Amino acid sequence: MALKWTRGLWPVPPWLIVAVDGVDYAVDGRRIRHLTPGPVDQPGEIVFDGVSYPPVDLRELFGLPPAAPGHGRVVLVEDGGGRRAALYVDAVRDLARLDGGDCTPLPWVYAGRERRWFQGLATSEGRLVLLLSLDGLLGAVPEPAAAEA
Amino acid sequence: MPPLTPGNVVVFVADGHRFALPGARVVEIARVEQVTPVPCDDPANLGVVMHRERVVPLLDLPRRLGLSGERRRGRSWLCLYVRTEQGEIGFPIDTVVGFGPMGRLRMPEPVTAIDPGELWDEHGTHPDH
Repeated sequence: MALKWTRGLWPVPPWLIVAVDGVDYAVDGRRIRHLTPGPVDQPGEIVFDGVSYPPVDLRELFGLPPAAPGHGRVVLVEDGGGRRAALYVDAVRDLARLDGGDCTPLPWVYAGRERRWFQGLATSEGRLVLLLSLDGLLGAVPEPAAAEA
Repeated sequence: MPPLTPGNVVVFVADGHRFALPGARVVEIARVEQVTPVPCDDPANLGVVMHRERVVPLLDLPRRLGLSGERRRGRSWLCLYVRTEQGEIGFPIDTVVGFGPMGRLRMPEPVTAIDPGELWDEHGTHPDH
């Protein structure tokens, strides 16, 4: 399923809500290029439209137990500056529109690498959602040339 | 550990360890049913909850103080919410042992006196790290 956002249709940027190990995370919809099924237990590079997307296994990155064999979803994202990644998640839930009033910074007790992973938290339909920071996540992805060296 | 100042004190048990803190720090004791885990480097951080329409982090106090190496299990806990200079925080607890003025409250031993405001520095990290 390719996502195409129509500018002006959404009053605020849409967020894609994905699930990893039972927790909901939100991905900035403006950065998403493609959604596709993928083996959650064997993340690998995805080539889409002639472009390579290095894998980012969110379970591994977050120190969570490996997924059971089976298919989850892969969210192909880019930051507009040439950095890309294939985010491996367990499932895609829905789209949400989150405005500033729904969002709050990460509490002060979180002072480690999580500061790079998350922009903050939001409430959506009574549940708490972690807002992924694609700048932080993609910053950890090796450049394709460096990866091949 | 800081000495307890005169005034009301609350004594509670968390993961089998007894603690005492100034009563003025206590906001509420309530059961939480839905904790949202936040992946992070510090295993003492258990996640966040919505408490009175605010996002409040939960901390495994014995683990933060190095008294317990086991990660607290489950996601439904009795929580002691306290205020600190940085904001509100919740400690999952087993039970409250007592509450009252210093001097009149029979203080069980051993007990660890804590000041929640001294569990973090200005960067959000444990001062001993």
